[in-house]
Amino acid sequence: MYGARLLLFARQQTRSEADAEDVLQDAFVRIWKTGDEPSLPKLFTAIRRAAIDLGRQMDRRSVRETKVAESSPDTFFEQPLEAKERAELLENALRTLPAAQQEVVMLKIWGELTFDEIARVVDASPHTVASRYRYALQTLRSNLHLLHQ
Amino acid sequence: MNDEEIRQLEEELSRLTPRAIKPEVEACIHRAMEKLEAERGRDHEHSSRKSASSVRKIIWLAPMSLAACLLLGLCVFFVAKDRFGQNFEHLAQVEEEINGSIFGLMGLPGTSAALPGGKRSDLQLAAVDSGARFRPVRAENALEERADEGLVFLDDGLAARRIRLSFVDTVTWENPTDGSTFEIATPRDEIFYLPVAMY
Repeated sequence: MYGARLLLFARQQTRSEADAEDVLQDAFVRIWKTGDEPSLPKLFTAIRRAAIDLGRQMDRRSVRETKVAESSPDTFFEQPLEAKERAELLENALRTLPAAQQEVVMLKIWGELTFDEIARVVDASPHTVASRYRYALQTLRSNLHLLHQ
Repeated sequence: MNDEEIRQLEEELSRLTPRAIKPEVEACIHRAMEKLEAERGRDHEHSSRKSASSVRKIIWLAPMSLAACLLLGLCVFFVAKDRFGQNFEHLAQVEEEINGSIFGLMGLPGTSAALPGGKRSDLQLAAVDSGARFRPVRAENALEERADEGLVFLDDGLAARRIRLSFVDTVTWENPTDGSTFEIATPRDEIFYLPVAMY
């Protein structure tokens, strides 16, 4: 049910789709091992931690990146033909955001978490998270203008 | 940037649909979960068996300890008899008291006191024969693992997926006289071939 949202966040946290898939699986296993009832904020937290751990395994990452370079196009979103251009523009603008802002936008818009929940996932205060979100949207808007021109 | 502009941008972003998770990734996660579930079941069974094994050890060690005490008592008696050559009656009485206490604890009549003419009571005979009275009380087939071993080609050229089911068949035997039990666990594999349509 939440697979696409979780994969999107995993994809944002990693460098390639293959890594995102690994991270997603790892996150499910981590949650299962704790024996806790899985919830969306817990899954996002587990994904973030799994991505950090994966980031430390540089050798494996380079192998995966080589693999993914030969595979399918690596986009965050479905791109329907009628709105392909706009979707591409939005995605490109999103990708230009700093990682800390990107993850807050992902968790807020597609994760549908509150600022309090996001704060717990990213280990920051709710105030910081709200500020990052506002900055992110402002930057996104100006990036959209630039890309559009 | 005012609130209205923020709301519009949020709406536009939320209209973007995250790419769906690939079925093979979903299947992979599902398989990992199933494997973990099976491992957890196995660990649980292993710990249950371990504790059952400890109980069985206690059940078997207790009579052995009692027998050792009895032997020690007899040794003390014979050494005392040999060394001092007196007070035999008194020592024999002490031995009877010790044995009486030991067998009393086991719910059996004491050896010396209860065996006039060297005969044994029915209860004692039952205790001696108990080793031959185990009977099966429970049997179970536990599915330990299910593995899809992938595509294979049969002798007649047909394609099929090979599925291996690993079971552990466990039979529990119990001695109704003293309640002691033991288990015999036998691993067993069953292999299925599911036909695959090749287009």
